[in-house]
Amino acid sequence: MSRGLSVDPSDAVPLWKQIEENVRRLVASGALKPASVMPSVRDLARDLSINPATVTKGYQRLVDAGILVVRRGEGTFVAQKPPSLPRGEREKELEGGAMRYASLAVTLGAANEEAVEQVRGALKDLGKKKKDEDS
Amino acid sequence: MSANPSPAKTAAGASTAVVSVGSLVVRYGRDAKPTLEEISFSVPKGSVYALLGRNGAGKSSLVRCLLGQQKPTAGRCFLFGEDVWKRRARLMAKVGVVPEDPDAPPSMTARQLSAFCARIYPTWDAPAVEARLARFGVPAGTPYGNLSKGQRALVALALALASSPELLVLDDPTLGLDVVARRAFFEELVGELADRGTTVLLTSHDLTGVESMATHVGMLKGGRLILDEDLEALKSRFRRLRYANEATENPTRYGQELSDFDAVKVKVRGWGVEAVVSNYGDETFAKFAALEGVVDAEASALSLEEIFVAIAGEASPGRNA
Amino acid sequence: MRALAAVFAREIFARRLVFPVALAAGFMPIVVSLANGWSKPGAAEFRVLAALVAAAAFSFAFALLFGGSVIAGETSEKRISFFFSRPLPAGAIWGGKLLAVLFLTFVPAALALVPAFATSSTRANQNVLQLGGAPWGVLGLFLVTLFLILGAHAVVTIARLRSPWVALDLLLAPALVLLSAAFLRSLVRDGLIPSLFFSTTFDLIPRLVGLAAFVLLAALAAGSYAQVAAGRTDSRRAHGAFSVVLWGILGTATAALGGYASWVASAQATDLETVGGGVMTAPRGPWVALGGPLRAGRGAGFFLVDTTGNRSQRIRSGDAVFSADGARAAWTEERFGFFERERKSDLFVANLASAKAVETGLTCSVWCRVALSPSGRELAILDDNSLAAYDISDPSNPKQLAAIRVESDSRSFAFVGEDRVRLFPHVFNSANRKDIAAPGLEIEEFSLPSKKSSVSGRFEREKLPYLRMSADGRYLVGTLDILLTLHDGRTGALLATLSKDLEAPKMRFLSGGRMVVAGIAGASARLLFFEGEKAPARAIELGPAASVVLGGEIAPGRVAVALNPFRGNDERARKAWKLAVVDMSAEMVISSLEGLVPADRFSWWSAPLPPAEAGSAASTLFLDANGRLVRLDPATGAQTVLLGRSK
Repeated sequence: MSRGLSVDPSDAVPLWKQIEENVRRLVASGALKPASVMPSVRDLARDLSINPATVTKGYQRLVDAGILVVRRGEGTFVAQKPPSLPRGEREKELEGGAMRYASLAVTLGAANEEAVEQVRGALKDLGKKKKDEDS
Repeated sequence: MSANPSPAKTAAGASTAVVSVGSLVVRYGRDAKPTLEEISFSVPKGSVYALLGRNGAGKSSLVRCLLGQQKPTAGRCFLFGEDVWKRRARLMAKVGVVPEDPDAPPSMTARQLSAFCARIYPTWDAPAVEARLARFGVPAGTPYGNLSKGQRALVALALALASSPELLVLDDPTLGLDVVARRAFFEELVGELADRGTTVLLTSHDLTGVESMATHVGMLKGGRLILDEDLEALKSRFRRLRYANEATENPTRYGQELSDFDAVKVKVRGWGVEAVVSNYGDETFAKFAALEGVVDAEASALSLEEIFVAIAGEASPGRNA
Repeated sequence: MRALAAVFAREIFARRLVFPVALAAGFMPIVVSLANGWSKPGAAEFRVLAALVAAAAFSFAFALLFGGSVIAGETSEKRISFFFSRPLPAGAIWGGKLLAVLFLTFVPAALALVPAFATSSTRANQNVLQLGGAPWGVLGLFLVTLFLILGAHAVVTIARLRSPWVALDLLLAPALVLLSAAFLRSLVRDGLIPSLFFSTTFDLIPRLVGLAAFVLLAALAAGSYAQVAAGRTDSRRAHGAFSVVLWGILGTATAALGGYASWVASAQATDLETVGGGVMTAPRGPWVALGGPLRAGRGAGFFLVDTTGNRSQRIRSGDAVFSADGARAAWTEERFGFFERERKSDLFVANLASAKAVETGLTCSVWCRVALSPSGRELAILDDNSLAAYDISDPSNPKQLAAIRVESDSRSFAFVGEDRVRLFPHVFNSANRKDIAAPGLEIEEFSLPSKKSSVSGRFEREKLPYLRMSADGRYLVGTLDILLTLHDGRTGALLATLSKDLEAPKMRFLSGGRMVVAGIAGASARLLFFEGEKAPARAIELGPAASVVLGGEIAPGRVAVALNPFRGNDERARKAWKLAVVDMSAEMVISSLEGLVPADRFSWWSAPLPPAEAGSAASTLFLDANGRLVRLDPATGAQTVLLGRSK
């Protein structure tokens, strides 16, 4: 159920953020299909052996971002379609994400070219995965 | 170097604090050094507070004071806003306790213990006890004294949860437990947290298990609380920096470049400098990395265990247990 | 309540094995009886007795076992935190456990009795029960068991909780025991023993013992509660709470006992309820020695009293002797202690002017006789065939003047002037005359400075009367049945027969060599008056009476005589005295007062008869019908109550 969802407690990134980013990645790559059901907070917490509040926080951010939807009495699901954001919002999101990635790269002491190269590679991989899933 | 909990956090925490400790002093014997010296902290509702420290650091004394079983030399402990020494019997109805040493009468079976508790708690879910024991694979009809350490801890947890407590106090609950029992223990705890959002105070040596469960961390050393902080905040401000210094003649000596950071530990190695800093910030690091002579600077996160070692200045408590 | 019941039930259930075990043990006497013959005589009694013994044994064993382990044992083994982590009030934990111990101590014992009692006849059961002293025996056993339970708890608390409080316990326990023993000794000596003398009840001692048992049990119980409530899981604090409460209560109780003992011992003569029959008056001056029951449950006591003022000195003796000038008194106090082996007395002397008693440091047996020289400067003791004389100018530091071996069994003695002592035969019961050794019939005089003695006279064995010496030593007065004789004090020669037909004759010397005798002639009382030793008797009839007491010269020429229509000393007789004041020159009774009797009515029998100066304090002291000491003003007839309770 929680395929692909794993967290590293000793990572610098907080656990809830790791969950958020993992789900984003899985949704973006198509591993988590739209309208598919997400593991309950309880089950995911037990599987990962982490505080359920952490899972709740991650899920909440995903719901706020429109990636997940909660259907009362039924559970948490992947949204039907990815959220469409107003142009300004989208740019802000991308800008934020880029700044976070850039900081990461600087922290790791990577050169600019290497960092950009990694982005290109990741986008390519995601595109490939999505194609594989769709077919 | 000491951790200063932000006043705002403490104040906000105090109003909804499930556990509140004020200026607690515990001293055994007249002239001895106090086991606990002016300890003050609080556990907010819904949080999981991990209290860490070596054996003999005073964790068990603190827990006994918190449960109204021992009168502190000075200071007071409050549970749900009431003085626990004065109101112990009433407050214990809302608390589930898993002690470090199993203290249930050895001749009683788990079933008999559950029956006894059913008579004295306002609410008691006896079927839940049976269900948990079945899930753990612990026989409910065997005398407590004949169970293994792991089984006893699981029985104690089942009993602690059956009264639907608002606060769980776990005193080194997984000490001496094998991997299977430990996993079962934490799974059950997670289930409880997911279902009821219970506030948890746990003392432990097992830092790895704690790291994924705790929301707050406190650290006892030398009778003082040298750390009392939100775990996420703690982990976000600690980093290990690695870099080489080319400004000075000897590339391995470090100079003023670390002046913007609170360096807890600095080691000069063959390839350069390794420093653990306690006030990391992305901008500060960028400035640092851009300094003249600082080469190949990188920052990596520290696990809770590594943070502990850095602060306490000694080997991990997990290793000393 | 629910919590207490839950704890109680758990403690019982955990030890439920004791019940079948006890019941099985109860069947043993049955088995033995079956093997030896069921219907043998005495078999039923044997079964019941064996069952009782087993029951008692179980009680004591479980009392010790559970009393120690259930609370104190669990605290020291750190298992009591199980209860404190639950919503159980300290009272429920303590109460539930204690009640469980009581239950586990008594119910198995009762079970052990069932088989034997059920299979024996009612009569056999009753026989054995009476042997055991039910129900008091059962109550006693119950109390003993309770003590064992709480005692075991205390011992385990003190011994196993490993705290420095042990030092306090080991210090206070013997200290309080010693203090209590000392206070109890004081109460017995100053409260109980004098009360026995006057046949008043001082029943507080048995009540005190009962109270002490209760206080001890309560202190132990309170201590064990404090241990649970205040100490909780902290061994050291538990022991501390237990010790503080236990010793606090016991210390307070001991202090109260001490306060009570001090209150009893501090009684004054003004606390007298009534004055007992015998008041001893000093030959001169206002001092007397008396005793009686005290008010308000203080028992009884003896005192030296200044009858003109408010001073009194408590003494522990029914007897005191005065010097002739009335300046000093001497008495003996029997040593009292729980461990005294021989009966001994200590000698005390008081300078009456300062009303302070001084311990001389001299000792004698309890049967010794003591006398003071006329000035009180010298003291002599006749004891166990020896006569010892001392210079007591400084009473705390007596200097021995002489110690002489004498025949003392049948003799008494008195000073006849300073430095001279005279021994004379003093035998009350005429039947003993055959056993008197020859020296016992002699009048012997000793000069203390020269330590030489001389026999100055001798009495014939067959005619030896009961003799008393006059205060100046000039005369010996003898009583032999109804014969009253006057003898020379030095030689013993018969000088006059004062009376030969009066029953129970009493005699007094008046000043100037005059004498009076009173007695019963037939059914009425008669007074005989003598101007001098050779003068003839002048008889004065006093009226119908069955017994008479002769007083002194209350006013010049007037003698007081008390008359009673009854013999004996019962309640009825005591209230029936009438005092007749007799004018000797007019030879008639001039006034009569209800209820009064001379206070020194018994001095006649033992002390040298004091010369009563007319109107002296001694001659005007009387006891009224309520047992109070009263001074009579002869001129006005007014009675002033000096001592005793005004009703």
